[in-house]
Amino acid sequence: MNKEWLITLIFFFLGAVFISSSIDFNYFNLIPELVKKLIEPITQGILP
Amino acid sequence: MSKEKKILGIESSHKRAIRKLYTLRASRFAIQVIFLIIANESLNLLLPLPVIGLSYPWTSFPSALDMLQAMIILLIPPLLPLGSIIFFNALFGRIFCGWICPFGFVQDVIHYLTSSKNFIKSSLHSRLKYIKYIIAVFSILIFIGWAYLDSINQLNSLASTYGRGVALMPYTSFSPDATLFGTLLFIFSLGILPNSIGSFFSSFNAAIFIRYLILILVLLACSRVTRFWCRYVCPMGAINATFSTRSALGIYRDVGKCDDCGICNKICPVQIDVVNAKLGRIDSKECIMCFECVAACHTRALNVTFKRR
Repeated sequence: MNKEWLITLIFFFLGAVFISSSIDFNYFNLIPELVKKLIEPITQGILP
Repeated sequence: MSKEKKILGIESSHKRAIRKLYTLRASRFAIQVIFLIIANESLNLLLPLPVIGLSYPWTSFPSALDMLQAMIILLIPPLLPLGSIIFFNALFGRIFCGWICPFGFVQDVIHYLTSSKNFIKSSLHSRLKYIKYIIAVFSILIFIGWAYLDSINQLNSLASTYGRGVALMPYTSFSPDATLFGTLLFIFSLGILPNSIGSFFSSFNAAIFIRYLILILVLLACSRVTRFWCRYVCPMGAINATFSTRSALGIYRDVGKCDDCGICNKICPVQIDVVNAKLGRIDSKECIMCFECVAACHTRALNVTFKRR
């Protein structure tokens, strides 16, 4: 197999494993909480 | 073939290339607008558009780098943002930068409005493009440092000294895209501008001043050099570049068909030396996959393909 394709496939599967693990750990449900944390620096000093 | 016929043939191929270029630009523009609307809840409030958002004040979803930052600092393994970055860049290269990123779209609009330069001195460009990698490494080191402070319960003392924003999300606090799409869009979308200006001046501090200054400087720089933020500063672009060096999708140059006219070099918004691409493949680290070079090539020497040669 071409070496370039091998590197691509390693990255592809590594990414897929990470995403599937995050589904297993239920990280998608954490997104709303994390977004709320991200609001703070952006609205700091802006909102009354 | 007579000389006249040859000239006519070249003219028609040039016209076809120009048509293709404008079609591509229109399609890319439309896709960028769609993602801009989807990504910014504030635009829905402002316009209002029939787009399903996630009901956060200004943004429907954060960028992978913002998520990476939040998860590292809060001591959660950042598998989701890291996985998405690695997966999509391994497949499609930096297509996010060229077709999806809302701040990239803003830079493209500035380019069309101000006719900013695609080219700066090559020796300077080749040095400056490494700055974004330094910023990316520095940002990740800061996230890890903040995570350590969080683990020893020192983040609150940092918050009391520098403000909660800087203590919780140091990158988001200063990134120009967060200032533009977060702070400013948020203000306009809620129609609270007069109050906001009052509160802005009453709670004026160094962090806020630096945040607005960064946005203004970046927009000014983008009006001088095309995609300045993507080329030299963006840490998200640097992380994408790291994982797209061997992306499956790539732009390849057919040396046999190429007449070395150099139009691809002139049109590239990130100043890639397409004509002298090594082994026929365009530098996929720096390439934002806008495909303008492919559309503009009148000899069809450039192709977007998964195939490797």
